[in-house]
This record gives sequence, structure tokens and C-alpha cells, in this order.
Amino acid sequence: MNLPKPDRRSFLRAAAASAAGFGLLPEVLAGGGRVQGLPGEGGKNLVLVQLSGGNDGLATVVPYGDDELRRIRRSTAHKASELLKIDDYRGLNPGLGALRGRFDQGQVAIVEGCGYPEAVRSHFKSYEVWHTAHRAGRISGDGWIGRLAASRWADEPRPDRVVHFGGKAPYSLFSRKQPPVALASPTGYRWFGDEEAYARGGAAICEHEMERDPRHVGRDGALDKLRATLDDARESSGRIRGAAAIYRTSVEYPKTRLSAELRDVAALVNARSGTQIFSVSDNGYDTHSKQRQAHDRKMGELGDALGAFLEDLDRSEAGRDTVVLVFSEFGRRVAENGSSGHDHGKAGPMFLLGHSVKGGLYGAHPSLTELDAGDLAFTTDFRSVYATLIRGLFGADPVAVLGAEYPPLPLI
Amino acid sequence: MIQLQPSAAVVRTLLALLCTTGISLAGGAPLDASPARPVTGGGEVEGSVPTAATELVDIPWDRRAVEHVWNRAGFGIRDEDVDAWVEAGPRALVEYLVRPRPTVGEGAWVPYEYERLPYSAEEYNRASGDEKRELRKRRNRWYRDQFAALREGWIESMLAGDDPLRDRMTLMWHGVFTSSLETVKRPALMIEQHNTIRSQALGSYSALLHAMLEDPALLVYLDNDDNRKGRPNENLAREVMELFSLGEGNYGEVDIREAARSLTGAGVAPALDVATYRFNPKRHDDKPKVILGVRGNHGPADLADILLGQPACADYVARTVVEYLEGVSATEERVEEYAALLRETGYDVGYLVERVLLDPRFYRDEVIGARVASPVDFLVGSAIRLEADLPAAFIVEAAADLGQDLFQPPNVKGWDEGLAWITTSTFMMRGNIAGAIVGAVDIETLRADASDMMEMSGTMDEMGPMTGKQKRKAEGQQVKRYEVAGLATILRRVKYEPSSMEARVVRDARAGSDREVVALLTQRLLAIEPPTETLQMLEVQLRAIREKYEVEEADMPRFRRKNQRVFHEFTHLVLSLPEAQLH
Repeated sequence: MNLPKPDRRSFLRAAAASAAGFGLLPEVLAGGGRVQGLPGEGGKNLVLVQLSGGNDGLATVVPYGDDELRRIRRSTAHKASELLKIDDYRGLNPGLGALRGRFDQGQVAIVEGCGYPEAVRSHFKSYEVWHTAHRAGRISGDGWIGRLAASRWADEPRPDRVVHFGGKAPYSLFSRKQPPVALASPTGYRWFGDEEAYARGGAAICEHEMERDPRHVGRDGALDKLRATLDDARESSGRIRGAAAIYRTSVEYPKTRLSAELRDVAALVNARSGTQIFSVSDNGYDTHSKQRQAHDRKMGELGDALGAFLEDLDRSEAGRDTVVLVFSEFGRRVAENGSSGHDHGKAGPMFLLGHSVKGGLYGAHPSLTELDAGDLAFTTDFRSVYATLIRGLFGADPVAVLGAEYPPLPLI
Repeated sequence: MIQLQPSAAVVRTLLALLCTTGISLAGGAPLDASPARPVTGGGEVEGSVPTAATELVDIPWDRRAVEHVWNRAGFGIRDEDVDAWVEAGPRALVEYLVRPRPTVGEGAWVPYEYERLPYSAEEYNRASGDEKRELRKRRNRWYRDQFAALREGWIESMLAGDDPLRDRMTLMWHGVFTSSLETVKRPALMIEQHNTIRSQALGSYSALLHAMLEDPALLVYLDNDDNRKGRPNENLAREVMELFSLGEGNYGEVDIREAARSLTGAGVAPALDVATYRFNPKRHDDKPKVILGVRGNHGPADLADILLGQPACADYVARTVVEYLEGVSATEERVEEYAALLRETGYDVGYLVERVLLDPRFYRDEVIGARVASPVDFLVGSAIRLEADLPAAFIVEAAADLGQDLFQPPNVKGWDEGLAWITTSTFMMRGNIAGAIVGAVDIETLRADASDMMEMSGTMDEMGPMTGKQKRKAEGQQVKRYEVAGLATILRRVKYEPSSMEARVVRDARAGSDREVVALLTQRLLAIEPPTETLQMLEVQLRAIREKYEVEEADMPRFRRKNQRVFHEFTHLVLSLPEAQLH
């Protein structure tokens, strides 16, 4: 059954009005040029891009200057001439052209050899470590972003402070106190029906103080909270959908799911809709066989998506206040397996992108000969990057969030 | 066909049978009651609990109380079955719930049996590289199907209401002794764990704790397979104390270390797709340990006994059970009272549940209608009340979307109950799922919304001129990004027909006014009594919906297609409201 036309139209009007309500007019974002002087709260934003499956660091930031590489990786190593060279030791994967250009502009920080002690090679277990910042994984409690949100915004909770695009949110966002909004897409973040009728189920129902019956004391206490949630839901739905609905950009995004999600992120960032932490993820990095082809394709998709996204973020102050963090649960084995692929390994690089980043190389490229059980030995604990972001972007105490002290990096 | 709650007639027959014969309905079903369990049939109860006579007087036994019991001890009740239970009284209802069920078909208590892979380990080992890849694909499909059978079978059992209290308590224990397929990998182990929990869900906690320390899924989930002499892994030892038996603050770090030593060597022996419990004496540290002050050469079973002997253990189990059923924190006094009961009966959980359900305090105003329904409660309960013939696969997926992914909990703490279920996104999602259930939200609704959004946003312009076909394709891609799209697709695949319960009820009652229809349908659809302000608001909304479809107030009881639409849209709204999230 289809919803009757008038409802949809009135919803769309409501969404646009609500978008305008936080100081946004469609014309502002309509043009392709710079977005200027948007009102709304300032503050930095963080976008997490998760490469699921275990991204091969040695095919991402390639140490072509080390002869060992082509000796060990006969079928999967790139030729020096194929790479986008950074210096006489390392070059970026040919798919990461967009990042190479920005590296020279000082907008790309590469932290090499990121990992943690006693690394595990299970996708799920290793993600637990990356998501909680604790070696013990989920047993330690909420995700690191969840803990950050609960500690940084304890007094100013906001339902859409942390948003994940693309279905189920990763555990890093898990929080009892400040749960994230998990969206398949911003357009789906609504109640489908007559929104005005729905609104009357919220706190507005009690505008005229009702006589409270002691017989229903339990129910009424719970209803108060749920009605407040309904109001929050409608308000944040209006903001998120409104921002997405009126968003216009001249930037051409590639036709991939990751790109579509990043475009949605850009819509919310550039509108300063109030969301400060965004999360997206892409899969296909579990390259056990015929890695060269598969991984280069993924790098191309990633590079193109990030290229468009960063260009889109260039257009506004909010965009320039945004840092993108690219990470994966582990790197891959240094040696090839029998199928021209690489099995699960340990350390790998992290990327931080944006105008707020002090670009350059951080940490140290792991040795190709002094290995940790056949894997690259990590040279920087990934939690140092977290600690840097926690303080540098949000002014929160990294020890309170991470439960331990990790030396920060000078990259913000 | 889904069989719902027992009809009033069946209930009456059953009660007559109970009253006249006083015999058990258990038939051939195994009975795992501990010998210490007091006989409850005669009305005399021993111990510190008030006698049955005073309780029954103090329980405000009415429709609200009956529904409360079914909400908390089962998964909801159809409105027309309520009155029979009001008439029957609390004792009859509670006895009906706790009584072991007659064996329906083969082994009703253990309905999910794992079927072994159709190839052997030898065959796999002999296979070539390419063949191995094929076999692995086949195995993954096999695993997926077996896992689906487990999850859907359980939901079907809840919908059928054949053994509601057992399903309820199994769900509780699944959140306590929890494990996740994501870590365990083999569905066979999850099925075995489920069956073990199910068989002891209303039995002895002592037996359950012992069984869980030998449960392959739990041992894998908490890494005890890696716990060996000289290289202890404390994961299981810590969780068994913190989450399974004592609660934080009732043990020290030394106890965890010592307990971990007692668990060394307790692992699993995998065989292709299954794994059995294996105690490896070579990996076991058989030196003396001191756990919670008890010295000895303890092994896993000794650890369980030591824990069961701790005063904190009965407190923890009592608190867990009563707080789960009531949905509010329990007073120390309540906990102590119930803990004493557990100790007296050798940890008989079934008896504890029975006492809670017959305790007037279970019916107090702070408790009734105050708990946020879990996704499973919301979905199964709505299906029962609405008489919706929903495929179990839909409920499994919808519950997962709402945060209750059965057999894949977020972490070892299981799920947080109550308000934690509700976020802005899950709240609206519940409403959209309700929309799908009544047919008001389907792929076409989403397509229309996608089209509007694309028109409003720049995406249409960015794509340049398009043919109608291209536009439809672009919309289709956009529709896939709506969360509820996957669920709507499941319903479309099975040619699901929304329930026509509302129209039938309105017709039967000849309800010809908005007020009557609102009263009638909210009573049917909600698990709680709605507040007056909600009824008044809904009256206004029903009128608006009627006017939209041009249905006169007096014409509501008539059989007309557009009436159905009015009722479906009304039900969609009702099930999306805060009131529908409580039970």
C-alpha cells in the first residue's frame, strides 16, 4: 500500500523547514563553490573509515626502496615505476592518487607500523581490540568512541552526536550512555507515515498536565522517557534528512557504496548538523588470493572516494575542521601464500586526512627482515593515534577514555 | 499456520482436568525438579515465604494482572484469552506456566537438533585445492541454514506459545551464560548450548552452572581452550565469577587467578563441524589452589561447587531472576528472601520463578507496564496480539536490526534490558517494522520516498538526464539503502498478508464510533493499559485517518476494503507509539 501523496509532500516541507530551522537555507548549499559563514556550533569532526578484512599495508604504503620486498613478494609486490613515490623508500599504491596530491599540501599524515602487543589474527578478535582500545576486547566495556562520547558530552547528550552510515554500527561506537545513531542511509532515518500524527505521541501529548493515577506510576515514568525519545528522534530525523535532502555539491563522487556514504557524511558535516563523529566501513580487504588485482581495485575505489570527499569538505569551514581516520584491523603476512595472496598479519599504516592534520610521516616503517612470527612488528601503538585525536580534536582526557596513557603524536 | 495462545475453551478444559485429578500434565516429559522442591499443589509452602492463602488474597487479580504475567513470563497473550485466566486465578495460571509440557512430537524440550555436514573430515582432507574451496562454500551454506533453523525454530516456539515460560527463561539465561556465533563459528555448538540451557532453564541453577563449565560453545567463546598449565587464560574464570555466579565485589583478583588454574585443561575436541567437551589432564594444573578460602586440588567441577557454596551466589541468581522478570531493581530484602529459597531448594530456579509470579510484590504499580519490551518481546508480542502470520525469519532479522541479534550478543554481558533497547533510530525503526507488519510500509512506499528525496536533493541533477527505466533503477538502488527494505523484501517473498484482526473485531463488536474503536483496538494491540490522554489523541487521529479514506464513523463495522486501510494505518500508528514499547 502506498502512502497518500499529501503526506509525503508535507513531510518534505517539514524536513526542509526543520533544516532551515538550524540556520540552513537550501540556497546556501546549492552552489558548487565555497560554503561560507554557516551558523551553528563549531568544533571539530572526526570521520572513521574502516577497511574491513585486514588491509595489506605493504601494498598501500609500499617500501619499494627495500630490495627484500620484491624478493619475498614475487607476484604481489608493485614495481617501483608503478608507485606514487613519497620519498626514495616508500610510494603509495597507484590507486591513491588523490592522497598523493594532498600529501604534498600537508593534509595527509601517515602513521606507519600501527599495531598492538600480542596481536591476534582473527578478524573479529582484532576488531575487538581496535574498537575498544583494550587488548581484552569487548569484555573491557563500551567502544572507545562510545566512551569518548560519554565522557566528552556527558552534560550535553545529543541523539545524533555519533552517526554510523551503512547498517550495524561497529563496536567502537557502542555505548550504554550515548548510543550512536546507526543508519542505512540518512533518507531512511525517519518514521514512515503521517509525521504530524506521530509527533503527537511524544511529549506534546502531555502539554496539558494530566492527572497522574498512582496505579500507573511505573508505566507513566517509563512513558515520560519514551516520549522524550520520540521527540529526539523526530528532531534529529528532521536535521539529518533535511541536511541530506537539500544538499547540493558540484563534486562528482564515484558510483560506489562507500562514495555514497561519504557524500552523506559531507552533507551533514557541511550543514554542521550537530553530528561530530561519523563512521563508515568498506569491505573486500581480506585478500587471501590473487591479491594484486583485488587489492589495487580496492585502493582505487578508496582513493577516488576519499578524493571526492576531501574535495567536498574543502568547501566549508566545518569541512576543513574535519579529520578523516582510515584504519584496518590488521595488516597481512609479509610472505605470500600459495594463492598469490597474503594471510592475516599484524601491523599496518593508519591515515589521517584533512586541513586540521599536520601532514607527513609518523612512526617508523617496520622492518621487512626482523619479523614478529612472519609478520611486521608494530612500531606505533594505534592507541597513540586515538589519544592524539581524543585530546587534539575534542579536548577530552585520553586516559579517562582509553584507561591508560599512550604517548600522543604531534599530528594535530 | 501459527498456533497462538491456547483458546479459552482449551484453558477451561485444562483447568477442569487439573482441578478434578490434581495430576501432573507432564506426561512422558522428563522432570528435572530437585528432590528438595516443596510440593506446591496442596497450597502449603514451607520456608520463609508467605503462605499461599495470604498471597492469593493480596494479588490484585484482574485483566491487567493476567496480561502482566503473560508479558513477563511468556511473550504476551491474545485479548480474548485474558478473561478465562482471570476466572481461573493466579495459582492456576502459574501452575499452567511452570508445569513441564507434554512431549509434542519428538523431544519438545530439545527441538533443535544439529544435522552433521554431509561430508566427512576424510573426504575433505582427500580433496584437491579447488574441491576444498567448494566444500568450504558448501559448509558455509550448511552453517547458515542450521543457524537459521535454530533461530527461527526458537521464534516459532515463542509464537506458538507451547512452552512460554521455558522460552522466556531460556532467553534470560542466553543473556547470562552467553556466547556468540561470531566467535564460536560452529552453529552445532550454539545449538548444543541452547539445548542445555533450555533443559535447565526452569531446573537447577547448580546443574546449569556445572553444565556450562563443560559447554563447548562457552569454552570456545571465553578462550578456555587456551587455558593451560603454566599459561593460564583468566577469561572464563573472571566471567564465571563476575557475570555467571557472584557479581562484582564478591571475589578478589587472587581468586580469579586460582580459579583460572582450576579450569586449565578444560577445552574442546573439534571434529570438522562439531566439537565435544574434552578435559586434557596434561594441560591441567593439578597443584593445590585456594579459591575463596577453600583449599584443594580443584578442577572445574570443584570450582562450580565452591561458587555454589558462596552466600553471594544465591543472592546473585535471585537478583538476576527477579530483576529480569520485574524490570526494576530489587530491594536487598527481596533478594535475601529469594536467595534463601534457592539455598533451601538446592538452587531450584523453577520454584523461585513460581514464587515470584505468586508474590503480590510482582504486581505492584511500579512494576506493571513499566518495562521496555525487548525487540523479541515487541515483535513476538505484537504478532500474537495482532494475530499476524509473520515468518519467523522476519522476526529474527527485525530483532537483530533492533539490537537483539539472537546468538550474537554485543558482548559477554549479553544484552542490557529496559530503556537501553531504545535509541532514536531503534525507536523509529520499531514503528517502521510495525508499518511493514500491517502492510503500510512496503517497497513501494520506500520507492516513493526515495524518489522525493532524490528530487529534492541534488542527486537527480548530478546524474543528468535519465530515461524512466534509469530513474527507476536509481531509485531501486536508493531503496536498498533503507534499513527496513530488507525486512519488507522478506515479507514480499513469502507473499505475506497482513492480519485482518482489526476489521473482524470492530465488526463483531459493531463498534460504530471512534471512541469505541479506539478502546477496542488499543486493548487488542497494546500489552499495557494506555493512559487517557493517549486514547483521546488516538480518537482524533482515527477520525483524521477515516476522513482521508472517506469512511464514515458509523460505517466502520461494515466489511469494506478501505476500512481495512483505515485500521492498518491506525494500527501502524499505535504500534509506533511509546505505549507499544512497554509491557
